[in-house]
Amino acid sequence: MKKLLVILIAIFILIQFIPANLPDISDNNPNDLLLSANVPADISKMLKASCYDCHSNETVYPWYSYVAPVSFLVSRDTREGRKKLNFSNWKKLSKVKKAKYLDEIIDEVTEGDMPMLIYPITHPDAKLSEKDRESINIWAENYADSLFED
Amino acid sequence: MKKIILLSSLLFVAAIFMSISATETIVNNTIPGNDKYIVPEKVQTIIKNKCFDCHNSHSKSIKGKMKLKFDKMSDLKTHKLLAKLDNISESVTDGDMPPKKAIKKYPDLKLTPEEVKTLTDWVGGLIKDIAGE
Repeated sequence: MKKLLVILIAIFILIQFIPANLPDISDNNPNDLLLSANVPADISKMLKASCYDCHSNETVYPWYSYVAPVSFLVSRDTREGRKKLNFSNWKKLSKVKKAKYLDEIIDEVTEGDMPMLIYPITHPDAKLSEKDRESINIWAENYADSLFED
Repeated sequence: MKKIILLSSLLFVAAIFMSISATETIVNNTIPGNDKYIVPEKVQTIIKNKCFDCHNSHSKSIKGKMKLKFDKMSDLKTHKLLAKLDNISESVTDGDMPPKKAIKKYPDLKLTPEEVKTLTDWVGGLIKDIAGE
């Protein structure tokens, strides 16, 4: 028993030396969605709280995200989230891509696939109520519509 | 014997009509204002043979039906239509569609590189026309 504990502690200490490569943070994002589109304050607040940690360059890393093995998880999720959709690069997207992402946002938010289940456990503010989800969907739908109004 | 010939030729004619109507469903319903956006025959054939069975409003594939219904595309708003078109292009380019599982069962469903190009060229041109970019 004691031996097992020692081994576990040793492993824990050793994995701290494996670099987690947390994606870089940047506050300077002139192409960000919230700067380039006219997003209502309540929606903007929800997006910041529920999406921006993984879907923007403005990730806020809590202390435990620097501790392995959590750091590996956070690193992977942030990297994959940004790759899928990065709100910091929004302005650079074509209208068609914007429409596609807005459509996907509606799908994900409606089906409850986003935010990922594990996320609100440590970020209670990120939890979206039914009403929140509806507001986001209405916003996304209207925004997508407005992209192709002549 | 005569009866059989008559019956089978009737069936044959019916089959032709049915395949025409399936094609026309795609032509007439794919694109709003279809007189402007005609779906080339080459594209229709690919869609009919490799996509339509899952992606129509009567499909048994719930997921396929949910994602895309070729016979109901004219009901979509512009932004939704563009999103769907862009997804078509992406999923055939990445080889995500037709699904690998389906191809394993029906190898003929696999798109040839030429077919992928035909589809993506068509989608690309259409998106340009509709979105103006």
